[in-house]
Amino acid sequence: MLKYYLTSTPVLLRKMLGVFLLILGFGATAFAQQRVNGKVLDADGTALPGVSILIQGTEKGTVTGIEGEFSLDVPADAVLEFNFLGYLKQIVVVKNRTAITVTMEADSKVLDEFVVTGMGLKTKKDALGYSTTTVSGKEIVESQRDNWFNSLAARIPGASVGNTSGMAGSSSLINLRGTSSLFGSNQPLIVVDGVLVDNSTFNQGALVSDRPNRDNDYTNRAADINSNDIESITVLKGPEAAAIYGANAGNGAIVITTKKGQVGRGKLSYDNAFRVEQVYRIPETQSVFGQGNNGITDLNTRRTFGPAYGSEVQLYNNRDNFFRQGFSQRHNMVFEGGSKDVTYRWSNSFQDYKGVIPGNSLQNFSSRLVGSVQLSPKVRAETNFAYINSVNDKVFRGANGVLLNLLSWPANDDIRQYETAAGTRRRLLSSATELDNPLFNADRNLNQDQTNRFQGSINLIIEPVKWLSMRATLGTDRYTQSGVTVEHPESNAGLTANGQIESYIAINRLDNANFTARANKKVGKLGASLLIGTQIVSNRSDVNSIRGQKFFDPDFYSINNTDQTTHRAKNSIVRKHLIGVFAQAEINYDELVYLTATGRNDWTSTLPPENRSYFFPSMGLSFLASKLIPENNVLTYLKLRASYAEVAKDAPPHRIGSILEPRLTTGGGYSYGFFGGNPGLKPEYVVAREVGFEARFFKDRVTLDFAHFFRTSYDQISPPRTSYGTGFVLSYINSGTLSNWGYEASLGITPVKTQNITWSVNFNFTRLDSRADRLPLDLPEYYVADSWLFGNVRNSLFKGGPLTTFGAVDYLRNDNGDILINPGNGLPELNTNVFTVAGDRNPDFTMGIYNNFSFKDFSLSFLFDIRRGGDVFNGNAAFLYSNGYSTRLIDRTQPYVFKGVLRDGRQNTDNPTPNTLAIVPQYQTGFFGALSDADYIEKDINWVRMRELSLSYRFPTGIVGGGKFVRSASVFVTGNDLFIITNYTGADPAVNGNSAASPGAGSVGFDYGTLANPRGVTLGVRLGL
Amino acid sequence: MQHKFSRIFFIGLLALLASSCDEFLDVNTDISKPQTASAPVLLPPMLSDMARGEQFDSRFVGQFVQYWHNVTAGSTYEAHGSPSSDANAEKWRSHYYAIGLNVDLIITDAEAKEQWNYAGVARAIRAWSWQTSTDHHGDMIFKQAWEPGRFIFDFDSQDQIYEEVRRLSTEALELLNRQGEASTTAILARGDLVYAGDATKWTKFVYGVLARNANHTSNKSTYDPRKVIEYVDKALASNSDNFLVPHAGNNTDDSNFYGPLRNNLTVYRPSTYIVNLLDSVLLPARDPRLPILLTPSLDGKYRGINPGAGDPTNSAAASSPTKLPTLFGTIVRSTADKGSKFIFRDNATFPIMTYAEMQFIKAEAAIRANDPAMALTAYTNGIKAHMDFVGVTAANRDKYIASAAVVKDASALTISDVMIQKYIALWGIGAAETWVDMRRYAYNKDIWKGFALPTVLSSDNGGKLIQRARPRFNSEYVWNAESLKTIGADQPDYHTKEMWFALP
Repeated sequence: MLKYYLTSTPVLLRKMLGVFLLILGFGATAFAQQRVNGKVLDADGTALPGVSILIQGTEKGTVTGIEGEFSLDVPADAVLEFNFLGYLKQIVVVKNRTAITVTMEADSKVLDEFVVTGMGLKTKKDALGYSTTTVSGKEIVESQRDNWFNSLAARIPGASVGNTSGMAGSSSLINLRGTSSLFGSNQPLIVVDGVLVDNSTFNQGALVSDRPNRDNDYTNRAADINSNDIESITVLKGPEAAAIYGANAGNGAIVITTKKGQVGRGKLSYDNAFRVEQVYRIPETQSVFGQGNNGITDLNTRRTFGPAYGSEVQLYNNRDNFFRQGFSQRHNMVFEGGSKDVTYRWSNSFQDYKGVIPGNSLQNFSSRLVGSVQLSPKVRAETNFAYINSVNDKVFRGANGVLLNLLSWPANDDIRQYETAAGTRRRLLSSATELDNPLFNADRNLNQDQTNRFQGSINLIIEPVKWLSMRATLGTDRYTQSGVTVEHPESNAGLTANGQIESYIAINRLDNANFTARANKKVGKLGASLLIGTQIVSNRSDVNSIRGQKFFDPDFYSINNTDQTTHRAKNSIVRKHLIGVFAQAEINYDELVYLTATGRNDWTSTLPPENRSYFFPSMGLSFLASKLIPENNVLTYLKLRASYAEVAKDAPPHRIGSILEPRLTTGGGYSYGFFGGNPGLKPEYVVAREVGFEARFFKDRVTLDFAHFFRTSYDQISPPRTSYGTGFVLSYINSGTLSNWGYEASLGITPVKTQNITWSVNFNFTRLDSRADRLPLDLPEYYVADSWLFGNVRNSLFKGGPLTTFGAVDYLRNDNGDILINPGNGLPELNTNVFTVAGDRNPDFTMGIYNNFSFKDFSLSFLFDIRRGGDVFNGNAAFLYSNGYSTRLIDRTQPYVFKGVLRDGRQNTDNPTPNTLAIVPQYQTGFFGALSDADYIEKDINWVRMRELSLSYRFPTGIVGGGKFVRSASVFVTGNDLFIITNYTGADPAVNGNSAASPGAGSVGFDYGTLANPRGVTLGVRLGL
Repeated sequence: MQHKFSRIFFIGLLALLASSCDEFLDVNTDISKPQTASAPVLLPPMLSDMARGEQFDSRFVGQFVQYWHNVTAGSTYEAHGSPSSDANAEKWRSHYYAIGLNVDLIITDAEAKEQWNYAGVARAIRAWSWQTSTDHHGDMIFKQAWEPGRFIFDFDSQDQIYEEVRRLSTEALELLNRQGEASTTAILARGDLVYAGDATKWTKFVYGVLARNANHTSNKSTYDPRKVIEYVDKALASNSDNFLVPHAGNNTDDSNFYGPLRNNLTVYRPSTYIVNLLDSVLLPARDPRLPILLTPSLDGKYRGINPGAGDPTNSAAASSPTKLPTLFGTIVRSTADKGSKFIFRDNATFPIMTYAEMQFIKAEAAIRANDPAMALTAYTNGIKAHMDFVGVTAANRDKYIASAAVVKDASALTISDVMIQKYIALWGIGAAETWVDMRRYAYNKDIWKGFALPTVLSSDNGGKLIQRARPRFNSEYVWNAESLKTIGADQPDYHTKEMWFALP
């Protein structure tokens, strides 16, 4: 009651408290009193209200007011103790001073001490038997990434983060500790303030045109969360998190805590960021040879195997004429404030971003209101509402996309002239199938998504008695994503249909309700806590898609402008419900050894009734060894930990029965779709083990965290293609076993830490390995069809090999391994029947190095991303080479003899005929198509990439407006992806050939038709009013 | 008492909770797509798939039997090759998947509703599908086919599948004949786009399947020509009994696979052989079907190409007087479907079985049964029926029948005469049956006079001619490879292995 009274009426506070404390303290200090007035600030110079001040050796003291101010009568030689949660204790000697300003220093140890492990559940870090990584919101904001997923790259050991392409609004994916599901999603669960958030990427299968997820990209929807609202991100890497979050966290979980309103005077802060972007690393193309085949000019082909351009021919730099400078501006405005009992924070963000490709842009608006109310001393409510709107204009990518069309544009033609005088498409060839001029594509074809999203949650926290706390959470995440693609009647894709428009609207809903109760008890040296909880999740997605063709007016974009008889519609509904109950028991002996056991039972809608209930346990052990050795300055902390966890994952929805698909054949009707259902499906299981330690040395100047994990996934639910003898093309089955293991380490060093200068370095290191122990149906090779983008290279799994293996078609060889050469034409022959191991995408290790210097009011930080080893398929190079645009082999007149032996029937005798057939590439175009695509898999790709470089300066409080109106101000400049040093000959070895919607081990390392990440520089100002 | 009451209350509450839990979790059915459907809804796609499977693979078979040839020289199929590809194995997909288990869905639905005619139709389609698929592929997955929970399948020999055709046909005949209140023409007509619900025509179709089944084993000692004749006499009795799959022809989904919209025949041109048969080169009279089936170049002359040779006029301008027209009937393909002809129109019906074919089967069997009079009648009926079918005027038809191209003397009628006219009557529509004939008679040039085999055979063949289509690549070669080895299908020359039906 007193507390409430004091904090909610700050003016009264001082007077009342003064009187009250005065009375209390009177007996102790009878004379030599003097009044001290002062102010308590944090490191940023912001006032800290509610700091308790105690005169050492007495019980006399006070609490700072809303402006951080205090006033206290003290003896002249008094020593004051300043205490505030989350800050280091400050001790100040008064020494006859009457005015004191105290700066409180944040206690990183305290902040680190607890980890958010469950629905609003904080666990003492000491107790955890597994490793977690926490990234502060400040670092995320500093990285200036539009999709906060990308700001996690190179910051988290064990994680691989990658955005699909360098286009504005591209999807991004995070993979924690490798691939645990052959066909299912391997993305972690995203949780915001204890509530599940939808991170799906629109799957083109729901479209009428049923496209593969490769010619278009859709933002992964977790990107809608404004990075400015993030207080911290905790990454739970292993399936241990699943005990609380359920099967969906089997791939780990990313737990976000949003910023809350601060107690104290209301604050308005504004910041902005202006970024310019430039294309970086676009594949080189030749401008020596013109259109043709076999050295003869043929203006009806885009291929440039014709004669060399004469000196009189004007050549154009089509690449420079195509790309533009990207520009983005972002404005954030936050209102916050509150008293001890009611706080609120309203944050708004607006972004307008034009990408480097004409026609590519992104607009975002996000508004989030977070509040908390103390309803009674024992009940607190926290609410969170957000509205997000995003509009993304995109261009097509991949095989018929903008990039490849640009690269395969003859140098003697000016790409800017994409229109005829009559305003129609200017054709390069007479052939109707000619690919689009990318500028025409950007100008006339439309490809847009719009998202309107609402997220809301309420948390009720009840603490009826000190040892018991209960939390009830209701959350919903609802959004409508709609989109339209237009293929202009004159464009390549729209030509046959005479114009095509396709639009969709996807309505997504993810509701969840959670209840947890936690009891703590301490008896002597034994401490125990017990948690029980339940979770109910309901998920539904409705997609309606329509398509129309045959435009009446070629330039009017509406379904109304199409021939009615061409209209097609498709409706897809996916529903999934889940109920979980769970319990967690933790026992510790003298806070020295912690033992944690969890168990969870889920009931899912996606498995047959007899298999829909399943249980999975976990165990964790943590031992604080440093408590057994005498306190010293060298080893300040040592914790050893071990954990074991099982998790069961359910099936994708609607896969128990075989589904009938509507048919558009004459008379309509239904027949079975591609997928055979399986009424016997059971959950797939993951078993994970982890050991590791955390150590801190030299008063925490050096910290080291190490983890080694091993994870096996079995009874994989996947739909391999099977013999049609099943009656289907693909069948859902439980089969296949995968293993992942790896080492993760992070090392933090603070070499310098003085009043004015701090320098800290953080290294993190990851090595992951995987193995396909058993493939579905014991097949010799299982491939992820989505990854088969170009040529005969795909993500193939071979028994006993890594999950990231490249499978490719090799040359025909004799028993000796020599390449067989066709005696008729001198070209090597391919063994098109068999895909063999041709490489591995998995790097030997990846590393992140984060540096942070601060000198007085300057702060400089940078992040390096390092990778060693791992192969990349340079599909762009294969495409360019076989179309005559490659810069390789510019001297085409030089005769060339393929090394090998003739396939003349003697190839396997003791005396095979060595090939001597010379080919002059200039006159034999077939030369350029003869190589195996496996030759374009570039081996052991290393990189050092400067992900981020950021410099900021904080104006001293007095400089701007005397600190009255503007309370804080800073400026910053940040560079993103400024450079990459790599042995990769292509553009960006980190791009993804598909979108994040593609399952399994994904298509990172398939570089084909995808724009590399541009480099950008951001400038901005931050103001606190 | 009080305790007991509260206990009952508690248990009741638990039960209620449990049942509402079940209800909450029962959302695993896709409410945007069904998992079962009634027979009339399932039948139309199946009919379309019957045509699609035949047409798809006939593009390749048409090259073996020389209906048409590829405009590009050196095609592997022209050289009787069989590359690793899903091409030429659409019958496999059609039999197991597209038609496949949908047959069982119809049977389940129809038998529950006592719609015996639907149950009969479903069996008839499966019997036909087994017959035509095994004639194409030879050994197939039979005993273990569609077994739930099975993913690796054994192969079975063709004789077992031939027997299955007879078994299913017998069942189909019984059901089609079975009377019942729900087994009406009106109900069957709802899904029957071919025979409009007429079960007697389906009965004739089943006998047609049996006639093929009995006649294909002509090289065997067990062959009984009388049985063949008996089946033919119960099979299609006139052109109005022809099994014709309709195509709406509005868009690529409901159009004829051979139409210009679908663009599947654009790279083929008529063979020299069919041109020679119709244009009075190999037969003494010019056939009135010539302008109906084929199209002359702009100079008015009919031209064809030889196997593997390609079309020398392919890159010639559209205005070139000697340029070979497309099969559609236009010089270049036009999606406007103007000038398309015969079965090459977007909305053409496609014949799965014709009365003419039945008469030629009967003529062959009658010769083998030493009944030349019956043979001559059937032979003449076959020619007439096909001419009527394709729209030859009665006057032109009779003129041709009267010409020296048609045998009049029963005793002079040979297997070769029958086979040549059967070839013409099946040109474009019956590649599967023609291929069976050619394999039964070992591509014999004495039967098909003037027929010239390709000069170059695929290097995989070891000098042998193609005898069978391989099982579908992306079904069996990739996912059932071990079983393939048991029938030798992993061998490079498996496609030259003779069929059981053709063996003595």
